[in-house]
Amino acid sequence: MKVAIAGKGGSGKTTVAGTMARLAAGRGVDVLAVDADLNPNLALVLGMQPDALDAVAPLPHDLLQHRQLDGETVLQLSRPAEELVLKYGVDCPGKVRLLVMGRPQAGVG
Amino acid sequence: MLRELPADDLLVVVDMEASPEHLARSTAEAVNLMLVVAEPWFRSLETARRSITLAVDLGIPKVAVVANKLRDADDHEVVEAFCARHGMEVFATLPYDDTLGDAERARAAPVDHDADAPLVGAIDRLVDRVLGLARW
Repeated sequence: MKVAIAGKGGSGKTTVAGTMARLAAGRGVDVLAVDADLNPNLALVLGMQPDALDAVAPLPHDLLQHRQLDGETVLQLSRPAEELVLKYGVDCPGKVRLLVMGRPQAGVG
Repeated sequence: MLRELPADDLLVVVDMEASPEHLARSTAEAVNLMLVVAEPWFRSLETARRSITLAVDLGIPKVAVVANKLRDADDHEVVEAFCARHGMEVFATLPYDDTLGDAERARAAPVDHDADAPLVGAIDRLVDRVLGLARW
């Protein structure tokens, strides 16, 4: 099950996403939280301590390749997704695993 | 990326960019459910309406509103009326919660700060619904 949480800045989008992730994990569900916001701060809502935030590195850009597909630019991974989750995912409190997508390079929407 | 991840025994929760405008069709197709968080006033609901139209066009199978920061019956009414008029499903309603500011000041996760806070309880019921949709 993959759930995307959208909403304007200030709507409470990140609070909803992070709290959902923690509560689902608390029920024993395997949860991967993905921070795809340009201003990533999901880690704090997940309960990561502020001094541990430096350990949360975004996915390196060179792992994402821009490809043209049916006339639109898509981001594709150069490595299998599962491998990236293992390598770049960060363990947050409450057994939630977090992956931060990072900012696409300039000029790429 | 999302498409590649196995989702049979995993719940993936994506905190998206503000609007699905930049969402590629290939990404959208990997998502089972999109929840658009909106506040109970016209501009916020109108923004949500546009996001939902886009998300549906992109092929996301289920798209619905999560109304947040509701203070009273009037707020509920505004949300219900707007969504009914535009054929939008209200997936969950979440209360305005004072304790959220305290959690922020303490730099704590809302669930760690006060697991019994009204907002946390409401999101727990939202999780019920999401897990109810999932086929494990």
